Amino acid sequence: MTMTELTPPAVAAKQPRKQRRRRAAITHDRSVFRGIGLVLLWLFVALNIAWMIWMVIQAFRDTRSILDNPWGLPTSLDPVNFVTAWTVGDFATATLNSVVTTTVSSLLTVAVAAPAAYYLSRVENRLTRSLTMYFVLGLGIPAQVILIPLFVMLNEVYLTDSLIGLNMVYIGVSMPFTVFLLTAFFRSLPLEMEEAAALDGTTAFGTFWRITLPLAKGGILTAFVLQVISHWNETLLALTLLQSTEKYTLPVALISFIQQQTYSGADWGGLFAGLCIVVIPMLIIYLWLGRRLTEGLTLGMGK
Amino acid sequence: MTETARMIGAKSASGSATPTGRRAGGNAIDRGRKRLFVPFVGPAFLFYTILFVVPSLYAVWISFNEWSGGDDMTFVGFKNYVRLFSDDLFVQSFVNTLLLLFVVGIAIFVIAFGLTLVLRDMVARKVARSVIFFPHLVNAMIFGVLAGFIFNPGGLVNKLLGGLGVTEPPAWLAHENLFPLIMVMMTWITTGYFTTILMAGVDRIPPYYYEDCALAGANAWQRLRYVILPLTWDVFATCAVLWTISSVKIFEIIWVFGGSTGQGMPPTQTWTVAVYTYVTAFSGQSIPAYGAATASAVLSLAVISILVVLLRRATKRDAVEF
Amino acid sequence: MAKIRALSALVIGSALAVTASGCAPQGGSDDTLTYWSMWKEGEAQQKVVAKAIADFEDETGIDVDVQWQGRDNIKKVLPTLNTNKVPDLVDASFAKLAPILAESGQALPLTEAYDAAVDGKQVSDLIPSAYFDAGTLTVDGEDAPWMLPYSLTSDAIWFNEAEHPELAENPPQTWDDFIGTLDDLKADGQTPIAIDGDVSGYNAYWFTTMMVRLAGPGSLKKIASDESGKAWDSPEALKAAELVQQLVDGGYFIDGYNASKWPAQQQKWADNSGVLMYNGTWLPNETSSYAADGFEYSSFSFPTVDGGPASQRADFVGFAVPAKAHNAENAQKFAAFFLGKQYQDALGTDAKIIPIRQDAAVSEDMSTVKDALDAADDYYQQNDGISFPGYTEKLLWPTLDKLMLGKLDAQQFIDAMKSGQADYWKQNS
Repeated sequence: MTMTELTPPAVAAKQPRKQRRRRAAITHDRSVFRGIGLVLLWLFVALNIAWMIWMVIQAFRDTRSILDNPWGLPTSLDPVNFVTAWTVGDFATATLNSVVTTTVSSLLTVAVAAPAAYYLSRVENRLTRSLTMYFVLGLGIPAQVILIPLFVMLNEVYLTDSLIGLNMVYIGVSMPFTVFLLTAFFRSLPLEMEEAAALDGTTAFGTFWRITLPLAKGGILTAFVLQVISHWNETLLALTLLQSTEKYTLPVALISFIQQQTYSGADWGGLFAGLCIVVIPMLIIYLWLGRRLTEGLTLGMGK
Repeated sequence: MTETARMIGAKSASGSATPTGRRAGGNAIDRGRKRLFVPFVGPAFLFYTILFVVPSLYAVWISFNEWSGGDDMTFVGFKNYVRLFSDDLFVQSFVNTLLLLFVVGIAIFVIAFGLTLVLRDMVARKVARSVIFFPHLVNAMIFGVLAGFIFNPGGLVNKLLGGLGVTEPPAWLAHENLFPLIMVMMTWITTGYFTTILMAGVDRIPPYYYEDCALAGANAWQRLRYVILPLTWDVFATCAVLWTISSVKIFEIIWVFGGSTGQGMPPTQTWTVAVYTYVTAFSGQSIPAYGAATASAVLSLAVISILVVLLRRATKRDAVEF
Repeated sequence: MAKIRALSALVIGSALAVTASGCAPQGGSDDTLTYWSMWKEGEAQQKVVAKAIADFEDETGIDVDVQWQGRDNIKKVLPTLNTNKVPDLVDASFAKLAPILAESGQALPLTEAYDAAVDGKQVSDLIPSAYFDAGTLTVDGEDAPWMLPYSLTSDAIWFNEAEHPELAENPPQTWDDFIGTLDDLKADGQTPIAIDGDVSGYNAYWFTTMMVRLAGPGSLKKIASDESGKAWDSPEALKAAELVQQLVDGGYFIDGYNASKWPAQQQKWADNSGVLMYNGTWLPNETSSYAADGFEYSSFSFPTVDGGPASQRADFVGFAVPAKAHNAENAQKFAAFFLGKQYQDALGTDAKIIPIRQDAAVSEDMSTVKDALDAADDYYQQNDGISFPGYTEKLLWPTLDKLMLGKLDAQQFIDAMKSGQADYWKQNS
């Protein structure tokens, strides 16, 4: 390969970092393209901030003024739209449902997936290798495939239109990703302490519980939060499996609110407030754990 | 990819890249661990099998039947599949799904790769990266709703164009323009995510490669061609697989694109296979056709499988170990 | 299937034990009733229904478990029809209920409701016979209708009387008058017609009403049921399409009607940016929150064409009971109870819709429509009563959209319907 020509054998040996030299090399090709690229990039960044600011601003305006001038600013910080969304749109119940469902299903997902991932990462034989493959295959199955069978199966056991049913579905559906992510993560942890503990006579379970888990806190938290995000936003399954208004999760409530406007007059301010209720928790989580999340996703979404 | 995963994973875990030597830690440990098989792997296996794998297999079975949800399921062989392809609506939905997969896919990769090159060593790159990643964490539905306000005749874009002196702006939300708009919105909200993944790949190219380039007098294009592309190839391959899988699932943004439709379902011009599946089964407009709906879902699974296998074939041999 | 059931049951069993109390089927008990309503909490109609429910609970001791589902309620009911979660009572328009419940044999004949007595009269006598053609509401071979209507929807060409008193005094009677009015408005620099072109149902009004004006109620349905599609060659169909095309070509529709999202154009209309709007009787309700100050809702009916009959659209909105409902008897009791005069009056005055009972009060906004209904010789339903599964949504409406948005001319429209319909029946027969 061409690569070999470019790489003299000498560099294969560890070389100290020479930042300054590297920078110098790079400045050579600061071209016009790069300038344009930079401008476009910053425009893109600005766009990604602007939509959010705009959405929040509109949530404080009333329908008529939003329509008159979408670029306008609110005249007051009266949270009346949030109150409307919270009460009329019944986002209060939906938020509670979403918070509970998201938390419970994400916790259980991690609780169920972590031991499995630990085992699959520590014991290597034909069985575990094929099991790992078996889990990974699920990453490729889109949710619409299981929509109807799930509906039929859950109905047999009286778990349609039930948040418990939805929770269980979320756990099942999250297994491939979470097991995959955590397996990769456990593999990255050093084995020495586990071995030492084992030599001291700690049981296998004790090793996992007292040694590995504390070490793996970061990775498990990442896996948990990634599940929180995906369960919080999940729409298709919730839309299909829930029918009663008091069981709606936020995305379903939002769709219902949008459809409600068709008949009882548009309330765009309320709609924007509803959008904020869906987006802002994600923003908070992201501000709190941002780097960890991007790393977790780039790590886990492989294969 | 496991290689990438391990490297990035190690970084995020402890800050020090510890290669994992998986020696047998003594027979005692192994025997102890093996006893944990059932309690450790069992629950995950059961949840996954019963709530995911069994429904998937069941779906394949349903797709060979005619069924409206009652007791009378009749086996009809491939009839549902044949019918799907004689239904113009399905063909249109299928084409739309492929358009999203390929057109948006290519757009995302070109833009993401361009952004990666710019981002690689600019000022405030971390901030920029974090910002463009965020849309990935937001329900795509939100962007679908916002599009209505952005592109309405009196909406954001037209007011802006009006200010610039454009008096005859395009009819953004006309039925035939909706799907292209959806493609643009999808590109916007997905590019940041793939940029982040690609960045992770570019970041782990050891700096000495660039130095060698400089020493060898390579220009920017050569550096791209001989260093960056080959070394990030496996990341590209992974991203392509990821996009293939996720693009076939696209549903929410289409379901509510532009806000209410007054009819409870989006105009047919914008349907994807996922929307077709949902409408055929649960539209509330007619008797549910579970067989046909499931057949369309199974077809999307088949598309994913074929493309993933092809992608892996096509990209495998070019990966460079380093 | 059995295996899957056993497996699911095994694993889900423990969870089930926990939830048994909450999720067990509601069947069996005599004093409950599950009702999935088409109204959303906060709507004027919902308040009337809620009041009736409260009174009903007091009077009968039956506990009504009501879900304010909104207009998607039938969509939500559909997957439950074969399950243990099926509600006992639902309400919707005839057009929504018919394909889902009646045509699939999933609706119960409402014998008890029709035999019940309300305000001293039998329910079947409360529904005006002029509207009520029991045949359309009865499945062949059953002895009672499957739907009990409690209100009517109709349509009209709406305008602001405060701005255009001349239209109230002297509404255009014939198609030529109407075109004349449009030309006058246009010459005056006004936008003659506002329409939300993204709502296929609204687009479809123009053509379906035109067909009914030209060839009488039921003519469109007859064309639609022709499996060869050749019935579209009828001269009336082409004429109707040409008259619609005349509107499109004449540039009478508001700017941007082809590129906006509902309710953008009806908001403009309510803000006096368009003079006329052809829409349903719900329009005053929908637009009142953002209408211009002093807006006075008034309307005239769709003009007659070539001296044809002047019929009016009368769509039923009412109750139906799914065949597998656990508490069908209670459901029918409530359905009949809701026809009480006080609730009918409240629907007319508070909720401003048209109650089904002839003796019920009607609001000022609706008086013109009510007069037109009373004066009409004949009645027809939305889409001329077509309820073949998927026909309107997948064929008629999308094709009509193209006609209304100027993508097809009249002849192309007829051709598209002809071939589309042949395909439709090939797939659905």
